[in-house]
Amino acid sequence: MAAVSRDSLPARHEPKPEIRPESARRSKKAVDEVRIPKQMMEVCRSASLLLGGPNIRRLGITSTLREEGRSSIALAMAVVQREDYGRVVALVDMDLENPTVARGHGLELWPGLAELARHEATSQEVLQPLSDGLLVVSAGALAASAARTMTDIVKDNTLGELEHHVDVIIADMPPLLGGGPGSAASRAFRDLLLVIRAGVTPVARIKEATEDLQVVPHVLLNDTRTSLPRWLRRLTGR
Amino acid sequence: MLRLLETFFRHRLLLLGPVALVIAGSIGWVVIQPPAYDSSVRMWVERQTLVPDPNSNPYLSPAQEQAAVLTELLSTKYFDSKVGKRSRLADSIRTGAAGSQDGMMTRVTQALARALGRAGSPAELSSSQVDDQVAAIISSRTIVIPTGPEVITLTFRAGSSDLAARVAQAIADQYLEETLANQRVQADAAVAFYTSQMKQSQADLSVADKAVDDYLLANPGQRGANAIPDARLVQLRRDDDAAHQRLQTVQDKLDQARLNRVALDQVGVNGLRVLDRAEAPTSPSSIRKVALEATGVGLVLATLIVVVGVLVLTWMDSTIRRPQEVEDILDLRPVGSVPRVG
Repeated sequence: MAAVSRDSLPARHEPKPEIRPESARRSKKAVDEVRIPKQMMEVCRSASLLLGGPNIRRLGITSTLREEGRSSIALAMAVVQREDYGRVVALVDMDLENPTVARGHGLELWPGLAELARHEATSQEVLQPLSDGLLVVSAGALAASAARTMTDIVKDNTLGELEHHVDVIIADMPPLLGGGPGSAASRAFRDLLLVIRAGVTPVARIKEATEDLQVVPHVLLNDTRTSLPRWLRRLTGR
Repeated sequence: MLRLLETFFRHRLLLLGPVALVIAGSIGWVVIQPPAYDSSVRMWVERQTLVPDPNSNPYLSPAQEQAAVLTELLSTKYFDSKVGKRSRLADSIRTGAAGSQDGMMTRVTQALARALGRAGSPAELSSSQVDDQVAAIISSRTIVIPTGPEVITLTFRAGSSDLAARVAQAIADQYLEETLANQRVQADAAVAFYTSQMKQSQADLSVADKAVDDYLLANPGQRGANAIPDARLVQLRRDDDAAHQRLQTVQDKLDQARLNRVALDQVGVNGLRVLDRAEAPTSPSSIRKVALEATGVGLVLATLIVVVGVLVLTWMDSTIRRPQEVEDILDLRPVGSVPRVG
């Protein structure tokens, strides 16, 4: 994947020093490439095709609980959209309570989605390049509760503003259960991809999480593993 | 099926751990078993011809029939206590000498119970307790097998060769005695019954004879050889003949019953006799049987643990593991599955 020069990006909005976390003060580093396991990329490539491929405009990646691999899948789906279809992708970190995307890639923690919702930053200011054609919108700094901020984001169609600058939005959403604004965030999407960690998430919790969704999510089973020995897999054709 | 297999391989250590313990337990069980001696008696059994048995089943061989009877008797405390007294097994238990025939586990359990004050010493056992132990030992260590149509092999296992031979022979002797005694009781009852019937028939005959005589005395015209008997005399003579016939029949049956009774005092007439008497074995019996039993029990237990464990673990697993389950259980559309990385 080609590297992106930060000089070519729009000017960054500098937040007030007193509200910036310590982690944001670290030096900016260029992201040369995004490392994603090859098998995950292949599965996400197939999944992307099933979800609409180059026709996807806005895709929310969510899960029932935390630690199901949602962020990794979201990143992989974003890379697939960029690599396979050459589209400009915005990977939006909508997990306002526990943002990981920007921190994980050494990007600025704000301005982000929260600032965009509060109109304290423009779309150009919140879009940070991760690689060529792959932009990241961090969660930003919350001025109100996560639920209130998410309601504002959905109500004001904040993601719609971003859509003017990119071809597709891939959102790393909060989990649907756990008291967070996951359910509210799902209202911003017509396409939802529910990541389920195989052998971990109880069925009852998944059903509880999906029964209130306004759209029927597609499911990506993550972290699957067969415990059958190789000879038995050959025997059973698996 | 695949889900069950996956559960097994996923939890193989959890499932195979108890199996390993069971196998170790089985091996340990075989190792701690004391030497055991088997002594056998072979008995000849055949259908009684001189003294017919009304309970005989024509569809079973005599050996099968008698083996079933002997097995039934072995499960009774009445029979076992008599064998215990005859073989002096009861005395051995009372004095504690029979302890050597118990397994290691039994001895350890008994020692622990004594140490905890929950069991009396052998010397303190009441006769009822002794009988209970005798019955438990005899019924659990005796094997009766019809080894041919007319041969029963009776085997008793004990901790000493002498005791094994004594008890095996005592069982055979007691069985013969019980069978004979039973048949003698039946024969005595038959003799007593037919004897009373005989007396009754003789009395009836006397009455009939006297009636004919009295009639002829009152009617001298009927005495002549050429006299035509009247209806009354004809009837009286018929009654007399019938009384004679009844007496003869009862006499025959009484003779048969007496013959049966006398025959039962003769050796072998009841169809049972000992062919090979019990002998004290010179070497302990093979450990193969105990090993086979332990292996069988171990295998059954191990299989049970694995099957039940797999079923329970599968039933308890309420998660999604395969894309197919997304459709089947959640009614949602799967778009892929990412294998575990690393």
